[in-house]
Amino acid sequence: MKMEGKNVPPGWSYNPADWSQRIPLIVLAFFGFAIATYLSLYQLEIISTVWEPFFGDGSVKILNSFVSKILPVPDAALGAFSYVLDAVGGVVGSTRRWRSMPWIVIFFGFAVGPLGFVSVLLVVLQPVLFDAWCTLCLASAVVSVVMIGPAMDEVLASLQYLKRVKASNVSMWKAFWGYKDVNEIVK
Amino acid sequence: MWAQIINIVLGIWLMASPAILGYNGVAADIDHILGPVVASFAIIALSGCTRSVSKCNIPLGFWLVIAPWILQYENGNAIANDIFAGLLITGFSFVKRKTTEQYGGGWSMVWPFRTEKHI
Repeated sequence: MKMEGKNVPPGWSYNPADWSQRIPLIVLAFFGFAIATYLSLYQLEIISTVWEPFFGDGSVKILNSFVSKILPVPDAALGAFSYVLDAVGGVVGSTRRWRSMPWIVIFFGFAVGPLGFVSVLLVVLQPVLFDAWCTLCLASAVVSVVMIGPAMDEVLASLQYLKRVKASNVSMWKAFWGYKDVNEIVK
Repeated sequence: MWAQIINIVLGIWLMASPAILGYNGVAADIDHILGPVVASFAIIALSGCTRSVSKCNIPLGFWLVIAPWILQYENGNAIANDIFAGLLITGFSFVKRKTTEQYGGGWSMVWPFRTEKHI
């Protein structure tokens, strides 16, 4: 048996939990975190200007809009926090985590998916409500949307595993939290 | 793959076209809303495992084609732009990305209502 093939899910041609699959996502999460942190420093008035090469006072308009102040924390700070969750969700677990710890894979999927959705929503609001664009907000949105597709293959592998667990009449609850005895019964 | 890249470009074009072609109002809102959404679905469809997401752009492209009549666009540029972009987006959404990878039967394996068949 090939060593590198031992964690490949049944019926798959590769292992979606391989580091070669996960490291690019972790790098993207850090990149998004850097952008969002910079923007939240501006929103928290720690820095007084924001970098805007293309759209004039667009970034200033967007980052001071009422939408960015709906929550008690600035929206960019919330974005930065979400990117941390993405990075943590990408790092935790071995290359067999799609079956040894489905909970972290599902958590990762839930961190990446909605973050991308909210980013797109915020991109839509920029021109529709405020008639302005914010370069770095767009860059952050691109990062979070790019992460969705590559993150979902691992989620799929975990869901397929849980489906096999169910078909074998083994506790899905135990499988979800990665009990070792389940791992030995269902492959 | 190339079809999705074209749809990404078309989505970005829709975001920019009200400013470039000089129209505003409801037509500009439609383009500003659908542009990012079309581009996002196309980006997600670049991944082999989620390539079916390109299908989500079919109704959006179709809506762009009929919106000028339903919402009574007044600007000629906006009408031509949305019909043309809508047709292209719909067409390219049908192009399914080829992949040599295998995904254990894909999402239909975990779809709860799937009919049992052995592929």
